[in-house]
Amino acid sequence: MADDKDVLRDVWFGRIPTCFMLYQDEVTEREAEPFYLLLPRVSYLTLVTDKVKKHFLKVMKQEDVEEMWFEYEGTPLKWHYPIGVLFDLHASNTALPWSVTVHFKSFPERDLLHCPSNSVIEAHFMSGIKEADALKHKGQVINDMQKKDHKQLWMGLQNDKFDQFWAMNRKLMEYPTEEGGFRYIPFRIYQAMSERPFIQKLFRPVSPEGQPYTLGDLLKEMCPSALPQDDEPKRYQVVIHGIEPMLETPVQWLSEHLSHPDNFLHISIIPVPSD
Amino acid sequence: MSDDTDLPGSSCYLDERTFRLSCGLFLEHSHSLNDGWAWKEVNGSEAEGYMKKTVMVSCQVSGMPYQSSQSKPVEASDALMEDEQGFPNCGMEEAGGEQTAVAEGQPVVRYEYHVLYSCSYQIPVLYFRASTLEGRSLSLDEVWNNVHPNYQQRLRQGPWDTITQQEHPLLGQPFSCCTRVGRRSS
Repeated sequence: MADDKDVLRDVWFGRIPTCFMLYQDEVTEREAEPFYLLLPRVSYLTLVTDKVKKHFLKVMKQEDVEEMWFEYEGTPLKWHYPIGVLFDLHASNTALPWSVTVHFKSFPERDLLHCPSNSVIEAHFMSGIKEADALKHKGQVINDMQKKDHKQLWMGLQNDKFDQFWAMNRKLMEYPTEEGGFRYIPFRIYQAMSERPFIQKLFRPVSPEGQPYTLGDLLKEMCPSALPQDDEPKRYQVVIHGIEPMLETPVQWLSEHLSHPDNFLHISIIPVPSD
Repeated sequence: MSDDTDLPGSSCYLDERTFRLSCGLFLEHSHSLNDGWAWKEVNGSEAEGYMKKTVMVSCQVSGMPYQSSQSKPVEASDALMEDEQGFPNCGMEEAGGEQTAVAEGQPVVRYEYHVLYSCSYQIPVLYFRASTLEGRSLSLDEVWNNVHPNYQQRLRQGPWDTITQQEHPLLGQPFSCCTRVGRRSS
């Protein structure tokens, strides 16, 4: 359907206007100006912030510079989560631009993975795709692809090439018609207040009787507290790519159209703003 | 939930229930050996958890390669802290060969081993992290330097093709993970 293809594009080209500011205790030779950038929702912080690094390095001495890391209101930002997920989870109901603080010292070893090079990002991204395919197709589709096909997925993401990426990714979105959907839906549910980083479990998109399960069904099983109870007012927003899909949406459709490039559905549960 | 008798080589995979049962047996065995493994529940939920073991070892942390000529053999129990099991060879249980020698005055490093269940791959996965007593995490290089040379080669050859840094799926903190790279595409 033409509309559905548009959804794929809208998801891919989603952007978050961001203001990067240098942490005040970093040692600089002169004052650092903030740096503004439109961040792709579907990409990763360390992949798209070379310009940020270059900008701040202009006012710093090399010896005062270690691995760059980002923080929002005191919370170190996990570069290995998609940017859109970080924003939705931590800052979605705040005024734009998103204000992110940049650090070059005191890397928080207990909180963040190191990211010494783009090949680490690539490895992480590809391992997400492989895990998603293990869930969807027992890994058969990804394993049947050649190394150059895997590379095409990565290069498509890295270079922001929608067509290049989806030429390969469409294969990962296929399923036998008689099955009605994937084997299991690759998803992760995030809650800002939870100790647990995310909820990820096995979930079939179709019931044994052939009925498609919905987003509401998924939440009821995985995170029932996210759903409004009876007559209670709604306490949480269920956000994917910055929007709240209807709970009646079939998860199979969500998985095919609102997944991130890593083929996972990343769902953020955030408290309804109280204003 | 996960009925995988149709998987090729299905004996290699286990569903979550079988994982928990197997952990139960493993933990009984560990207990009888006083080997230190324990079950950790997640958020007070009995249904979900993982196996954990903490070990204190005298290790090299300067980043220098392991040099057995400098150290002297010590009984495993001499390296113990109270309530922890000393575990030479930094977790490698294989017998054969002398215990990893431990030199006096070496800094003590704390190794945590976690065995979690991966529902995506339907196998158990080993996570570990090493840190000094002050809480500084050891780098991957430092971890490798403390693996006995006899085991380094074997480990690098696989099936564990690589040790990578991963986010612990239940704690959300960086751990090292033994990953099997698996079939390489052409």
